[in-house]
Amino acid sequence: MSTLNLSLGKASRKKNRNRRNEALWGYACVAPLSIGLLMFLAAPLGFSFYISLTRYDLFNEPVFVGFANFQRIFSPEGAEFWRSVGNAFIYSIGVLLSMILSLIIASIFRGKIHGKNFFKGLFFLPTICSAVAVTIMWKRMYDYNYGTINQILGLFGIEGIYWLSEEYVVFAIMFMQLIFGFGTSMLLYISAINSIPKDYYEAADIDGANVFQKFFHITVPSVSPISFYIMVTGLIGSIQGFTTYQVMTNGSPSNTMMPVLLIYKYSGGDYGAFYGYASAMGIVLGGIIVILTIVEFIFSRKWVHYAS
Amino acid sequence: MSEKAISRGKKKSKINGGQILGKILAYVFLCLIAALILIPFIQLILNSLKGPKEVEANVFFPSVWYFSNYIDVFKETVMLHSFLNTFMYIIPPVICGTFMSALCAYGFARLRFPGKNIIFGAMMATLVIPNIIIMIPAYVMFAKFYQWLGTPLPVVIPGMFGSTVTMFFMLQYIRTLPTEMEEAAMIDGLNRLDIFLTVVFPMMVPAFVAQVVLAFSGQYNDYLTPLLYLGNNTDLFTVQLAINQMNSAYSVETQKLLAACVIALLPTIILFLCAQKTFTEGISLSGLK
Repeated sequence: MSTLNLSLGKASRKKNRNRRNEALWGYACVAPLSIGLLMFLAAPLGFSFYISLTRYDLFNEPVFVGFANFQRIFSPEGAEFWRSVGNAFIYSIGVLLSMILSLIIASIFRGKIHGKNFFKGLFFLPTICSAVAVTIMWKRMYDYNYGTINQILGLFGIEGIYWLSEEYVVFAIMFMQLIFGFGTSMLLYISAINSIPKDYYEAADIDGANVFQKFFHITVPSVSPISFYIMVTGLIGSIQGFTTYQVMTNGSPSNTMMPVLLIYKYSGGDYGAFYGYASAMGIVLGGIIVILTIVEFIFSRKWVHYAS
Repeated sequence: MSEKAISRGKKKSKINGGQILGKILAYVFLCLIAALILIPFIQLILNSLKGPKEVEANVFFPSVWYFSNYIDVFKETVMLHSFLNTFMYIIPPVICGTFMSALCAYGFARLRFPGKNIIFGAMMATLVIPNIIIMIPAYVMFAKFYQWLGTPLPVVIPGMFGSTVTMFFMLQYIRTLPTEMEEAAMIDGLNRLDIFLTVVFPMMVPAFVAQVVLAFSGQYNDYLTPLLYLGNNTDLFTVQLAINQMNSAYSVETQKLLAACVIALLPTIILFLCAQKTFTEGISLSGLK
């Protein structure tokens, strides 16, 4: 009896030890990523709230100024910030256009197309290319004197256009982003369209529906959650856009001044060293993005619910 | 057999003029888009092979091919140096970071420990934090607390710890793997790390390679982070910084700048041609999260 108890105790002790052992290994496995996130994400995040309440130029000690930086953003002085946010929204119209383009292409790919993989690969290719190199390439295309586009216009006797001037730069950048940026949403649409049950289309065929009816009554509603996802992530991407604008125009004309570029210029760049103010702008911008992310999350859940 | 023939006959009769016209329109449309993508690339390559006068005059086709532009890029600019820098900066974080993400995923997938769900939830919550909030404070921290300014460390070290997105991808992959081998290894008395290294990780190699490829191209193309930390130090330049400087400072002739752009584009394009599926599947998965 007592020996049985003893051995049972031993077994449970061994079990306990095993469990403790497992837990220790568990912590060891998740430790590196956890430490990394604490050091390089959580710490700067916490620090951002402190630094945004100060005036700081990196050389002198930070001076606590309360909410002055935020007040500045919401005062007439902060107009340039809101202007840049507005610019981001304007450029996100390009996302809408690229959404339409990629949905059309994805629907074409639903049918039998020779060279489908070639087209798919080519359309996606620009999205993995260096944004700096791609922008320099397009800047050359848009050049007033040497640009290919003005040259082509010249063939038709049309006067060259200053594509990177205040008037036209929005179209220039949007066009480039449309042609070179739709690859990702195209792939998302392709996989969304592949998951639409085939019998929907077959039933429509029996009813004698034409291509356009099938497109508007089956494809478009079925992929609407993905459309919403692309729109919101596109808007967020536009708000965080930097490389294209910095390389193409460096923020002048003013309708190419984007929020991140503005923050960059205020943090030791052309506009001086105002790390507190730059940080405050980052927080406001981040807040806008978080709200958009949450909206996307809530709506996509609703849609998933409707679909099931 | 006869049924097949009938259905084939039906199909044939269904193909009418409208469908053929639609097909033609579809191809025309696809070719038009393909042309819009290809023209800038072709223009870039042709321009990068022209002599200085023909770049100015902007003739479409170079009459003399200046392949020497490409050699001059390496001779006259910081390009070669920047290439070595870039690879030195990104290979350690890409390899080590992806491995750490896989290790973390293994911990979440296979081991039980108190607080696991809380830690996992906290990690997933960090995905919501936009990069833009931490950009400036991180810069200040690297400058003041870590004293890493003027070194490549701010670009290299953070990535070494792994990323939540990669971890999540790995987690989903591990969950599809069978557990029998691991159980057998447990009975053999291997410890958890040995099990991960000798049993689980070898099965994860496809996912690991895919994530390494994606991380490599992402970090190779990254511009803002190196610009912030290395932007005023030519010795530390990455490829992206090098071509941007040539572009904005007009420090080299146009045809050589464009040759540098072609060179800068090559690594990810080659990677894409070798592992197209990896890239396309990576995107399709990201949309489903």
